[in-house]
Amino acid sequence: MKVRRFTPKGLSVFQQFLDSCTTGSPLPYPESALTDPSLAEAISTDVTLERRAFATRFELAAYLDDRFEAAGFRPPQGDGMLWAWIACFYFREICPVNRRGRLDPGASARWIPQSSDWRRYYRHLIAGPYSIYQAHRDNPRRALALLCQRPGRPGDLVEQLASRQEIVTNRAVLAVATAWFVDPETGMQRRGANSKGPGGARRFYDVIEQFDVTWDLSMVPEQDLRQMMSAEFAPPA
Amino acid sequence: MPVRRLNYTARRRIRRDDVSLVIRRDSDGSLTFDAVMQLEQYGFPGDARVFVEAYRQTRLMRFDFGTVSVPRVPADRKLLVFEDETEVLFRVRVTATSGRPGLLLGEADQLRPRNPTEGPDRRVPLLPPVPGDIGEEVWRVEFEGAPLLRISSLLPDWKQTVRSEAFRAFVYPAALRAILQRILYIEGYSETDDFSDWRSRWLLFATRIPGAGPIPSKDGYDEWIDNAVAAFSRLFAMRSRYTAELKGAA
Repeated sequence: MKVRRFTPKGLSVFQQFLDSCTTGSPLPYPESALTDPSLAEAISTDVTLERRAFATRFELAAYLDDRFEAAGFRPPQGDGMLWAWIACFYFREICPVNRRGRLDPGASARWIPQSSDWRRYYRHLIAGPYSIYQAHRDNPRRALALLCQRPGRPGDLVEQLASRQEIVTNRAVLAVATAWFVDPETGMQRRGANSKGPGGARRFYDVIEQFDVTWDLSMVPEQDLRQMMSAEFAPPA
Repeated sequence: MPVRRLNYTARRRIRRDDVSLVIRRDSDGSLTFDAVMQLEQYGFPGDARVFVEAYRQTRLMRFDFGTVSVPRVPADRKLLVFEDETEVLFRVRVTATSGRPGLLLGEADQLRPRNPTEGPDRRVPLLPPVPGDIGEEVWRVEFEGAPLLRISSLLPDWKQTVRSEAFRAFVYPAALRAILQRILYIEGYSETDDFSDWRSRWLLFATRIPGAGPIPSKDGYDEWIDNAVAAFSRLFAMRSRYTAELKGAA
């Protein structure tokens, strides 16, 4: 399907659908909002996306990067109508289902970007991983710590690390985070990464934040940073 | 509650007044910036490197401004990765190259640039109103470090809205309450002596409102916030001005 962007009316339809998912009587998925000319409008470049499942945020971001690149399209990070349309397009592929088998989309910011809100931009399930992928486009696998999760369930590791601009843009920090939190054999997040205790995401964040007071982390090479981190975060031999 | 970070290495806070940043559009439409820094009085080693970083969300550009003793303004200061000038923030970092290379010697963060038409302003706005798309909300307080007052850009005239007495009366006391609660309860912060820290500036502002009084111990936070907000409303005659506006409109 050709990528479009919502009109204000289209965005409102999607928002109403999301809101209804938190009630006992969810509205039907707004398929027609994706193409109805009064609800979605064409963008400047022809870009086509296929409906498909994604195992990880990395796979999702890499796919979008590939499609956008092929079309010569640079999606504006601040175009909430565009990102909301893409999120709506992939809604059924990535929306988590709760224990009772019902759709559980979570907070609106996961689907409709709050790009004016610095605290929440990364929570968007499409624009979040895509922007992290873009920030590390020279070697996106460096950012696997923030991209190895399922698209609909980023988890606390992403919440802790992606919320800090100093962390998410720092190559050495993300390389160390990936070495520690991602199993190199499976490419999946290690168990315990989301824990609040030693070796968990919050502890990692606290240690890095303390280093950031003392060091210009942009000048600290990855190997040096690994040595600086306590044994708590030494990758298994 | 966040873990408190300790400044073991006596990193200096560079005063905002000592950094002047101007952001502008070149004739080709590209964003660029100028930076002037006064760093002589900080006693940094001459060979320490000076960097200016422009950032927003996952976007970061780092510019090498030479050393403390031999400043060098980079010829290319285009902010290529940013779509527009709104909300680009800057930080200045002075970093050791000898002794303990990479050690952060000084920093000024969350610096908002001026545009070329603005004159230098020594006042630090406590709560700058910034337009943005916030759906059906009219306003909210956002925290990215220092708080800002996000106003819906979808209003017919957001600047006019902000200037109205009704808006002031309804929004600013509530915003003050939210900010003080954030500082004292969520950030767990109660210092007033670090003027380079936005939390100190806000607490200092609140304690200086006639009738608010000094910050008490934790048990008294709720009552102190209530008092400060009430005193703030008295100071700016919120109800009276709002009533006058209503009568004027009638």
